[in-house]
Amino acid sequence: MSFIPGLGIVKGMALTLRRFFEPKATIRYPEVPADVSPKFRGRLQLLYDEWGTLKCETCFQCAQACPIECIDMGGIDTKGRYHVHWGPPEQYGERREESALRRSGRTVPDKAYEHFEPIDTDRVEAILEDHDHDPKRMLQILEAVQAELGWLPVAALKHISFRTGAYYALIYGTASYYRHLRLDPPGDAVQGRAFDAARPAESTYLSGLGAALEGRGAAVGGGAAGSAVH
Amino acid sequence: MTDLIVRPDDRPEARPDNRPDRPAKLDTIEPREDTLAERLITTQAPMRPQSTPPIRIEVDGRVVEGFEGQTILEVCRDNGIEIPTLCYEPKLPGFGACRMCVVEVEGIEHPPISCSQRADAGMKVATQTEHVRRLRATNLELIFSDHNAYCLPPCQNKCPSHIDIPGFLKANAEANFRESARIFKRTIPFPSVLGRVCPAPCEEHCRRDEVDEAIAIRDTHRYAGDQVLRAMLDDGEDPPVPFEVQPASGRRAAVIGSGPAGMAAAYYLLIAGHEVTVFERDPAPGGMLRYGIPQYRLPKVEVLEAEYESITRLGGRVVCNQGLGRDFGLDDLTNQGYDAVVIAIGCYDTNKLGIPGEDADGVLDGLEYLRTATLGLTVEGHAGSRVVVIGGGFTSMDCTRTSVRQGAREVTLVYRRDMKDMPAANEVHEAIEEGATAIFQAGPTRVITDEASGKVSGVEFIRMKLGEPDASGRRRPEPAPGTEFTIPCDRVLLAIGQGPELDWIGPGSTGVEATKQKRLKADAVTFETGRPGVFGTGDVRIGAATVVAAVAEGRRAAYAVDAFLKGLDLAAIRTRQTLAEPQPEFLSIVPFTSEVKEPRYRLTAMEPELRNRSYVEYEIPYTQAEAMAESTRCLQCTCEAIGFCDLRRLGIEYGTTLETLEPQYHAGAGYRSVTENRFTGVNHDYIRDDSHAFILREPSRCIDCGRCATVCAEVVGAACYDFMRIGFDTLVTTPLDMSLNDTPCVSCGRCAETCPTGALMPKPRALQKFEVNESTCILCGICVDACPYDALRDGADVELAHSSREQPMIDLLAIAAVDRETEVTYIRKERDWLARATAEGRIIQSDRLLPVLPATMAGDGHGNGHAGNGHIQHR
Amino acid sequence: MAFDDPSAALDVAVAAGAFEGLRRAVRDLGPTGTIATVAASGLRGRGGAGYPTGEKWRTAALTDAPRRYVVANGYGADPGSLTDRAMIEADPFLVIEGLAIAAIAIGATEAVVAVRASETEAVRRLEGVISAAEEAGFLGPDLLGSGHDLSVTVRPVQGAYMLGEETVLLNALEGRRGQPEQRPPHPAERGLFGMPTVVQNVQTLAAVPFIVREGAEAFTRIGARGAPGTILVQVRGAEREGVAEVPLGTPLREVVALGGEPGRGRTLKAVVVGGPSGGLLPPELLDTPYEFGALRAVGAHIGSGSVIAADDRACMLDLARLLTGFCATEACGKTIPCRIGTRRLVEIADRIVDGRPRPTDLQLLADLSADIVASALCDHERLATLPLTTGMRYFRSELDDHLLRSSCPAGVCRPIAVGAGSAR
Repeated sequence: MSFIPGLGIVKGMALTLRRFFEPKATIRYPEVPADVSPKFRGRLQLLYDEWGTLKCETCFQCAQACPIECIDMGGIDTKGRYHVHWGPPEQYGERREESALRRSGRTVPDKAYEHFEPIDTDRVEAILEDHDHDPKRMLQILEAVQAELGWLPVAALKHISFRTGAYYALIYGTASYYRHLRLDPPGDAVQGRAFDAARPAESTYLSGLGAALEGRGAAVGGGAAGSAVH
Repeated sequence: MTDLIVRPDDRPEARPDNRPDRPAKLDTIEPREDTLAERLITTQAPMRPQSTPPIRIEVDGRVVEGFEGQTILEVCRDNGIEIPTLCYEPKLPGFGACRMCVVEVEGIEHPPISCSQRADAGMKVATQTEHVRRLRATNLELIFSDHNAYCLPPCQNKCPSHIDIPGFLKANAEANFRESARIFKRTIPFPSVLGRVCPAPCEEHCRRDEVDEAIAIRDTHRYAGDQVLRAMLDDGEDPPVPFEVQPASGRRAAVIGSGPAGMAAAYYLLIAGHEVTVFERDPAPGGMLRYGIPQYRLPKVEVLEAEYESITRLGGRVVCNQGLGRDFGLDDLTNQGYDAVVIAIGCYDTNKLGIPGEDADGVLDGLEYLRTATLGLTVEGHAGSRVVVIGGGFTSMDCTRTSVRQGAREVTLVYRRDMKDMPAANEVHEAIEEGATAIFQAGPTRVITDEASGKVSGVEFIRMKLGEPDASGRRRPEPAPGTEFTIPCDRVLLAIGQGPELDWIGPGSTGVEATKQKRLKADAVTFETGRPGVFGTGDVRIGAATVVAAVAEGRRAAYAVDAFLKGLDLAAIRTRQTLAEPQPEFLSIVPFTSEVKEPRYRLTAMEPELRNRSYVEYEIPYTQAEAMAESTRCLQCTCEAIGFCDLRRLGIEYGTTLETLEPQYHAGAGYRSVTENRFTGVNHDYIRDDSHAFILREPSRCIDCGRCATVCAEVVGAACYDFMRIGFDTLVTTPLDMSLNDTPCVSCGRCAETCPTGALMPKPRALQKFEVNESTCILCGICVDACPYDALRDGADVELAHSSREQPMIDLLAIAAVDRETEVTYIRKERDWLARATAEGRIIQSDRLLPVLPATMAGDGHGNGHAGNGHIQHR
Repeated sequence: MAFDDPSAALDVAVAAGAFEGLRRAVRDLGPTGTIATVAASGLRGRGGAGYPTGEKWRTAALTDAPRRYVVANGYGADPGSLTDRAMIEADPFLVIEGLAIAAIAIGATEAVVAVRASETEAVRRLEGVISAAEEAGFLGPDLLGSGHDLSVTVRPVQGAYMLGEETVLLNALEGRRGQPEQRPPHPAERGLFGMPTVVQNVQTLAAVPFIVREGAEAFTRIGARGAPGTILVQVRGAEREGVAEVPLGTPLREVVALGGEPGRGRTLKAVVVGGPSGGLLPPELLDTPYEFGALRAVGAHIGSGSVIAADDRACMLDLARLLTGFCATEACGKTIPCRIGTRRLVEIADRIVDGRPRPTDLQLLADLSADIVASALCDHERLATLPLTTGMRYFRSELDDHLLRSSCPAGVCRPIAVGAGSAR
């Protein structure tokens, strides 16, 4: 209670008037851009470089990285012939399933190798059954397939990749490393054995060693051991 | 981010404990400075201990901090210490293939690789000792000994104007002569002129010479230029313009001199949007090209005037019969409102011999003689006379051969050095075929005149022996006493070099001055003279030089003048100019060994008996097939990765390069850059795979680091690559070297991005559509982090405030509607390229074409495309 | 011992003391005691590197992991050395027993014996022995009542010389390319399928039962200080060629003598010690004890146990070129110094042997070898430099003959043959 009547109103009005003339803290967004820190996460923007061209290289890494898969983007090569696209999952039923399968480590059907010569995959399948479709037993699988077919045709490797989940390129890398695995068909019709006793590098070395010790010269007499280009 | 979390304790109280074996102290309670970051750490996480304990190691004598479990490389990189790597993929474990990141660690016998060696507290590491640097250099040399690829073409380096020679040769090989000329015109506006008169320094260093013979670069761009001229003259088609012509700037530039330097400057200034007027002293434009080079070498109407038409078609004006100093001065130009003046008046003042009898009747200035001869006028008294030409440059050769054509009875060319030191050495045999005689290593001592008439009757010479090399690298001629001999003659033509005429400097043209060598003083990079707005370029600045050097000068001057006219600071462009003219380092790598030999297609010349009486162009030009075949011989020794290649950068840094290709620095061992590599031996040569639309594969450049294989398998999940084969023939490639189109490649480009060399390069593609489904986007910013090109950003717009959520963020079509060449407009223009190309009769190699998507699958250019599964997208 | 009936053979072996060590390890020593005993014995790996076995086992046992493995490397990478095959064929029980003891010591439940696929007899014997031992309770679930399970498989492998290297063998067992991994981490910390794995040569494992049975002290009495025990050597001399067991530390002279004297009219010129990457040692060094450190000090190594006597018919350069060439061909191709560097070493050797050396070749050889050794990933590349570096070190005059005088004293190489009694 106060003695002066209306003092409360005056105090109230004084406050109102003071606020009236104070600088406003309101920002008229979106006409006036809000002052945000550089790390503020707002809507996505594509950026341009200093010459006015979009920096985006259409590499799809953003679309692939998005955990919600909400980016839908596409591009084209500079001759307008080839079109690449990465879009939202609902429109890519197969692709989503494929990418989910890949990430889970399960096998992914790969249609890229249709045009290689087909083989009877049942024989390969039988071997895979024996080895539990285990990609960790790749060497044994490859050796067994070679024993069965005589060599490792592309279709067989493709089938192995499909059924074991191992990447085709890595199977190829393994197969091209070991000398006993043959990626070309054998010259004669005789089926190769699972291990090939004729290891050229080793036999060349041994015969070269013998020649060198007897003074016939490893390169001159016993065959060019290792130094010649094959 | 690191410095927010771990702060090296450098307060004095902590110094005694600042030893590598002492644990690092961490104080997160007291803010060290009044910033937001500090307040956040100390108030919001004051007592939280580090989850990973920090450790200290000593690197190169310095104590640095890292975390337990980090490798030495990670610790060093976090602290700004650079260790070179090639096979290291950030965020993946070290692979250990390149052995470049070796460092010396106290207590470990052989230097371990820092990408795999865990950093233990108290370790003492040295990253740049001589030993590890030597190991790295050996590794690089080993790589280069099997690196059948080239960074930079030596031809482009040697060209004074740095033309993209492999580029235009490639266009030539595809019969795209217009494009070839366009590429050429980026650096030189006159391919047909240079194709006839250039001494071709590029061909001296052509790497094809190591296989069979150098490419006939000059003759091929001559052919391309001729096709453009023919299209212009016969069909009225405008010659191609290399750059987009800028809108009119409203500035006016005056170019004095219509020789190669001046006209080149005019050309590029016109493209830059300025108004250019060229003032020429003589009755017709061309300068040395018209009055110094004879008709049989450079036809004036069909070639020179046709080439110069490209300038008039761009809007340039040529005013003849206006000579600087004679008819106007620099002040007049300023008064007429020209914002910039380019002086390119060349060198017309023939040097004097300095011997008695020089001014006798019958001793002619070579240039004066040529001027008359090329004007089509017969020089009186020349037919049937005996002529001696003194000098060894192009002018003397032109004098010689023109004298023969004008019917002189005997023409003798005398040069004081040896033939191989002549600038015009390659023309000598043609001159001799036509009937001239050449004498080398003789210098004039006096002119003998007939006493009665005062006319020349002979010249006395003295034999020269070659002494020590002088500044130009050629051996200095010294007179051998007692070997004088006389050649009787009626005419002497002096062609021993020219200097600029600078007598116009003075009232009316003040503010410029001459240098001690009597040339116009102008800056080498910005071409400024002492007078503001006046620039000097070409022979007047550098002395008598070749046409190509003059054109290069003119082009660079245009760049500077353009900057001046735009009001830019010339000191600023000085750095840019210098950087734009590269000084490449040549890596010492593998010689070409496996190319099939194919001889050079030479231009045949007319019979000497036919040609020494006429001024017809004596070289029979290529047919189209020959031009294409010759261009195909180009080995394309460029690499698209230049500027991005880690291997090259490290090669330069570790000194496995040659500084220069100049022969005198290599002790006669050959200057092809291959003998320097100690390990030259058997090497691999793989074929480029250009079949994929977005990734270019060049396996010859592969260093088998395995990064592409690892990234593709582990990060992307497509696994297109792996190490194949064993031993020396190991290569990281696709199975069976198949095209990437046959692999599970998703065209993301990560392999190209991670490749440290140019073995995998991304091909450009253009974004057509980019939509974000904002109803699901959670603004997490992961996509922004994932983008390797910084092309995406979290903006400042708050989602909820956006007025319409259905609208896409970026309206590419709206942007494309702006009148500007962007990817989208370019794509639209190029849409029918195949139809256009076949209509032009261009030969398309069908095996280099990608399989075109069937019509149902191809996009329609508005972002409505098809996915691999056939679904239609709508915007 | 006839192996046609494995269980009968097992009975015979047990009667002679087989699996006694295993019993002792299970009953008396336990895992910790076993490791301590083996460590105290100073046993070092016989695969060529000579790493202390006890330390390896200790590291594997101390690394925290859900599973551990033991791999017996019986591949025998050197095609000219049959020591590992001899070991397996002569006494597979010993190998299996050692394998089981190792498994008990480190707590491994799976063990693999890698054998050359072409050695069918060895494979057969091993498989028979394993199944017989499982039946008898020495292997398999709850072996000897210890509560410890152990399953042993035989893996025939082939196709690459590099399979002798432990990380390469582990990669092959995982079905991958045989490229070595960067160490550290060692296989004892992270090996097969990322689990701690102890990889030991079959000879090393064969020494373990003796140690466990008789004690570490008894073992140290055999062989040399710092290198106790015996080792199998493949000796090739003029008269004889075969596998012998010698105590470590035996002077090289005696080992060479096992192969007989040089032929009539011939003198001993060099001894190739170590296999395809062996060092060429001159006769002056015949007193070198045949053990790890001493051989390394002179530039050779134990390697595959191969000791070859070369007489004066052989040209040292030719021999060195052959050995280096084999190493270069068999390189896996992962690292740059090995893939390209060893190939360049062979090219230098080629030039020397062909009589067209470059003036810088000798310096280049020395520099390149030093750089390869310093920056190498695995021992294959380091050891591949040994033939040429020992050739340079000990046969300099012969090298100079080739380089400076274009002559080959042995009359082998293409330069004009000038030599004692050589007919070409």
